[in-house]
Amino acid sequence: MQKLRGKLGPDMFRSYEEPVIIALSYEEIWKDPFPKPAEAEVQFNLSGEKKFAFVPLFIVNEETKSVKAALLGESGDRILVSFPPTNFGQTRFLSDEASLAEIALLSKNGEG
Amino acid sequence: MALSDVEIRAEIRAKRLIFDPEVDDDYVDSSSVDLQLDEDLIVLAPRSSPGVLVDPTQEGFRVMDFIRNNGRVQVIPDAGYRMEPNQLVIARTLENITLPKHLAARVEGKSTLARLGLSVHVTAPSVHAGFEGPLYLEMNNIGPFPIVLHRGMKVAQLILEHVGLPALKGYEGRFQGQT
Repeated sequence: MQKLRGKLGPDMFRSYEEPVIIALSYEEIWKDPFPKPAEAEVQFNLSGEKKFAFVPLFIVNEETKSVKAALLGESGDRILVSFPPTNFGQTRFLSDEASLAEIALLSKNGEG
Repeated sequence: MALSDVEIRAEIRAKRLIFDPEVDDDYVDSSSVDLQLDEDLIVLAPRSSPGVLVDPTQEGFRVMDFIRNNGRVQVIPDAGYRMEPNQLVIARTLENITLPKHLAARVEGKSTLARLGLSVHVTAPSVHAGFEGPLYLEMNNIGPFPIVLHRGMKVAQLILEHVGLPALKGYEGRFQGQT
């Protein structure tokens, strides 16, 4: 259980004291069309539910088809997954912990 | 509140604010930093049938695919690229920019270019704290004349601002270089 800061109600967003870095497997990736792309949109499959996020390519590992993510906190029983800011748009989504665990390549303490 | 040239230079000297390649000293104005145009453009032009609507909320719509399918890469030639009125191109800054998590920024146009009708973004000027990479510019010629774009030209300016508290999303280095 991560240490949460704040004493808000159970359904209010509560952030972790430190973001937790993990790696998540993605299903598909769409890179920007420049000859040397810098950003991409990636698609995750979270227990059958598709989630999308824009990410900078420096956090993408195309060999393992994975991307680094930060877990920022919890809202009710859902975890806020976030990525570094990009030019293109949405860089975060909510997911339950079990679905995240299914596609996690690294444990929540960053170990393989 | 926008950072002054004194604060901008201090952030650069401390290597908290990074421009790659480094910006010349005369690119730092009283409260902004000039940015240059990179050599590649994506020229957007419809390839699909006339009359087809773009619905970005449609399931399966992926903006990267849309740009790829409706744009072509144009390397700016030595003589420059002639940008026609009403044309929209996606460009990038030559500089890769790294913002620390205590600084956010806005990218804005240059006044001389603005008076010719050249805008450098379409309502999306925000650069979030912790950002790292080149800035994408949605350049539109809304003036009546063709405008010649040259690689390396000063095309935009970055206005830096403090954020109230360091952004949780900035991560400061925890992602950098990791794959």
